[in-house]
Amino acid sequence: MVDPQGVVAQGVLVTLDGEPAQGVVVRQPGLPGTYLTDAHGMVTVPLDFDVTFEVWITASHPQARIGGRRVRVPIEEGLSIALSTYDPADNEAYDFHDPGTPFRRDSTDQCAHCHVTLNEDWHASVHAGSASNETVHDLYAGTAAIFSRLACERAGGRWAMGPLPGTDAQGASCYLGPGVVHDLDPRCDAPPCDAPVADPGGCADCHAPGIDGALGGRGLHEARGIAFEAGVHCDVCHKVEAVDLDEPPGVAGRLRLHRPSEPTTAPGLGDFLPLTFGPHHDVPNPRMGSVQREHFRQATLCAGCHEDVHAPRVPGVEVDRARWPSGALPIQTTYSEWREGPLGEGVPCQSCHMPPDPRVTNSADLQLFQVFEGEGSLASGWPRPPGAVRRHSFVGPRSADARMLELSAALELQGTVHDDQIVVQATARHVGPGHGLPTGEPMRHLVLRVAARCGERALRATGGTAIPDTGGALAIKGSEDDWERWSEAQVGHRVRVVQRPDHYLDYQGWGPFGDGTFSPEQRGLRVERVVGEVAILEVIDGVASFDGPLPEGDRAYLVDDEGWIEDGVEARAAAGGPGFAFARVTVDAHGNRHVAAHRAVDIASDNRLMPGGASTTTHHFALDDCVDPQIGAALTWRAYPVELARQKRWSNPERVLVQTWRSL
Amino acid sequence: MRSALMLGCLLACGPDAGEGESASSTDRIVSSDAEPRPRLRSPAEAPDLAPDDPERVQVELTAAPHSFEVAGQAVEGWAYNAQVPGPTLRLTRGQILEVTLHNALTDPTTIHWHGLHVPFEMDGATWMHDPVQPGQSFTYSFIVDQVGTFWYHPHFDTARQVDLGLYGAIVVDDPDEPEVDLDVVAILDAWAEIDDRDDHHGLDGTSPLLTVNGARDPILEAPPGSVARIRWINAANLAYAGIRSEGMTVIAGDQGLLAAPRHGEVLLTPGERAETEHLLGEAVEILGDPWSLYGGRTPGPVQRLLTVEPSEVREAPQSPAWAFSGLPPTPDPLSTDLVYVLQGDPMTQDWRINGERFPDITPFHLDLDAEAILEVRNLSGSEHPFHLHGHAFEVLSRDGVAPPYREIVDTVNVRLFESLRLRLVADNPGSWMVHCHILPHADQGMMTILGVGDGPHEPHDHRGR
Repeated sequence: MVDPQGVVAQGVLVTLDGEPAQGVVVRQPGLPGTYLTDAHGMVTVPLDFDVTFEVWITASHPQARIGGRRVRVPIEEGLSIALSTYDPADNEAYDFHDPGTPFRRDSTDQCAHCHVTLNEDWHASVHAGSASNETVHDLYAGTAAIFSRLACERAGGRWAMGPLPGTDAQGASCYLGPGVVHDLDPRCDAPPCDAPVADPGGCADCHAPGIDGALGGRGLHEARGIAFEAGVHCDVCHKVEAVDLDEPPGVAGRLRLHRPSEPTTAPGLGDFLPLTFGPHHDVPNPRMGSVQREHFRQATLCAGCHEDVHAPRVPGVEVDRARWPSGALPIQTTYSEWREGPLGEGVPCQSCHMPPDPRVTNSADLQLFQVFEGEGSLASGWPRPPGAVRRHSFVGPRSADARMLELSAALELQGTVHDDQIVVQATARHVGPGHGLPTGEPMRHLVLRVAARCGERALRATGGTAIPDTGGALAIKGSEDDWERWSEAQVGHRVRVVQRPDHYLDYQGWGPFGDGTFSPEQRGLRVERVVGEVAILEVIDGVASFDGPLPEGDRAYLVDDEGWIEDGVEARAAAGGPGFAFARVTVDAHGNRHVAAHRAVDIASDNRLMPGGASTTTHHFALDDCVDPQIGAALTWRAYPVELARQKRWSNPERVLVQTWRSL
Repeated sequence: MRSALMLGCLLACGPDAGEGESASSTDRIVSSDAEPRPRLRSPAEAPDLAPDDPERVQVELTAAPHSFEVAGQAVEGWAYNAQVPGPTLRLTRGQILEVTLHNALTDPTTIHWHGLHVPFEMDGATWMHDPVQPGQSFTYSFIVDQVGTFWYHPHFDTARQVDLGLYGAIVVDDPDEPEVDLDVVAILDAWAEIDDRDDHHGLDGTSPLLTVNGARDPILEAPPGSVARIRWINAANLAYAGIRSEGMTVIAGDQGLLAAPRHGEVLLTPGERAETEHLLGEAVEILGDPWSLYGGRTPGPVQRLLTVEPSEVREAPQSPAWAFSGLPPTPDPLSTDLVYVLQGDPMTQDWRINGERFPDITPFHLDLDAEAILEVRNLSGSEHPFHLHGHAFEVLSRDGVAPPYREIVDTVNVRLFESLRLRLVADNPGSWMVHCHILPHADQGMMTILGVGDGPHEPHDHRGR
């Protein structure tokens, strides 16, 4: 009687192109043990036949598709597994496969056909929309979400025919505000300027990486079909053979894609032998053509796009080499922030953004196909422990269910009363992510609002740190300007006045903004202190009248913020009020701040909260005879600068990370 | 014979069929094929060496290597007084518990009194105190002014020592509580062989086996028509146990009677306790739902943990008059004093709190008797039972939702991406451990210190855990 748990496959030979292969990872799929072949390509594999699934031996070599053999008792003598080196050349003739969707997965040619749960997660993620995202296209083409000629022209835009994203058609769009296509084209006098695109800005290399044909340097308008509809999809990520962090981001460089070349006429496999890179050593299914790569468990894969340091893209513009010696600007540094932070040692991006999925026991959804109970095979894969399969939800700040923003920051408030003043110290603390807060696209920023109240009555801010222009302003005027004239003013708007003493905040930011390279002045955050504010009661011919005397100061912000905000409300201009803001502030060649990344020629400041970091600011409020004052603060996240979002007519809801109130 | 054992992830990690959010009668239920099924016994109580002293319970515990059986398999482990689970320590509220630990192991060890508000120097944690060396003894002594089910285990090389069998129950009786016919301690543990060839991304355990007092799928014999009170303790290193049974009422948790009873099921994460009441007209099966610490209920077989079997079928008795307080949750002041963010990843087994790995940590401090609001946020790839030494705390809310009744615990599960708000009255001075009670997570760094009262709260050297 054979002990089913005591079977050993002795002397299994693994060859690569007919020669014994050393260091090949051999295992019984469905079980944890792994074994390596010796210099003669030989390995001994303990096997367990007391399992409810097919017993196989698989062999995994980095230059070959994973191979395997089904084994039975008694184990045949001279068992061997022959692997073949895959063609090392990328194949431009290969068409990326359709990931399918939860509503379109009838064909085995669609990933969703078997990988149901993963596909559902991915389909709901921002990765799936990366190439079709309207905001991305507005920034690429220079369009705005304005859909009538009259409204476009009133807003100062140009109503013109241009390409309709994802199609071969032309259609009317409102060209207004920044756009990669015309901003990077010195010949362009008026957008769209898309025939041909002078410089696509590298957008598609990450946003539409699945454009068939040549990799890199493609225009976003070239995305059609799957490349447009599915964005960053299965067959793109799982074609990443290697990651070279020294190259520029995207499929043109950092992400080395490898599309298969070997033709096949086998039914169901397509024109070329499948080739898929993934995290596992035990997937011998020829339908997948799997090759194991460790980067699927590492942050480096994510760094393929979530790290972007480059020279200014605007033609003819150089950075200030004294400030940026390499000539490159740190536009997105999420990977670097993580690597240099406390989680950079052992908590990769996948830990938070691709959490384990206890619902599935194999990425091919064994349980849905009712093959797990008593089974597990070449076709269906073998069971993995719960958690071994990662969700492909790519949760982030816009994934409401994951509450990533709410988990990322904390607020501490200390308050004291001195004479007729309340003095509040507000500390915003980064407590969660491995990277900065916010991170990624530099348009993202945080706004800290600090307030005091007496029952339902708001107490007046009288001093302390003010929200800088990052908080948004409908208009800004200096001390030499007429603060009663505001062409943009409406009843209910406010004019907030700040002092700007001639010195700069000494904060700890990212890179040269935090490592001692830059002086406080070079770190670029000019001190601004609250003086006071007035509300506009009436506007006649652009001249405003107020609910009180205009305070004196160095700068006036016209805003529509009311001092507090509820979660999900459209972001309002909030500069000049009691609070602060956290952002990487981009600057263009004309000195404009908070510009789209492709226009940036400098980073003026970067005070984003880094892992473990905190920022404490002080704020003053009038006590106004209040006997039971309360102090409060709210830290919010915005995707876009208020001014740009309003120009482009983008929805820009403000998300509350944390808010707190306490009695004094 | 196994050379070593590890508490595996059992129900937490056992992959199997099934889908949906809750188990049903169609779930595959696994049970032991051993015949006859083992009988469940409460772990033997430690003899009181001072029986004539009404104010004191005096016990001696010797930690030593021990050969024993788990579910029919021989184990070379460690034990207190040569029994696994160790002797149950039973006393009445207000008594002094005096335990002399003799270390007959080859390693240092301690005893931690999980859930009891002991003086810091009696806590068994080695952040600032030395462990008991091999061949040496130490006497722990403290007044117990709590009621309920607690447990004791080492707090030195904790995952390994608990794994090997060093743990036992503490039952603190309240003379005012109604008596029941059957009062049983049921300590859950999970066992799986160490497999150092494992490359399943840091996950382990593929052959689940959850035992009750070392027995798999036992029968608890009961008098006919009786009321049974089962005191559950999850002593597993990793395994979560979703316990349910027809007609089961959860009457008590970590810190004695609940504010209100709960019916049907209870999730018991490592370190947690629960007391369940069973009104036995006929036999009842107590089942364990498969639960993954990577995000909740998971596909897998439902395990029969225990059958409670009266000697004959009768009409079910009435429930005794438990003195549930019915108290609502304390209103949340909506301010926060301390934030603990749980971070880490099962692929790398790198576990931290606030970006720090024990012992390279920055202790938080609270003034003695301060009332503090703690936020515990989970940004890691695993659920974590959050445990604080020396104190209990109230759960004010989970993701902003307050519990229906006041909930006082010393260990609380934090689900993926969940944020808990806890109210703590810091009334016990010391440098208290704060950690995940998945013991490998704690050993790998998910542990920190909360200093209460005047320090120092940091040792001269970071001597260990």
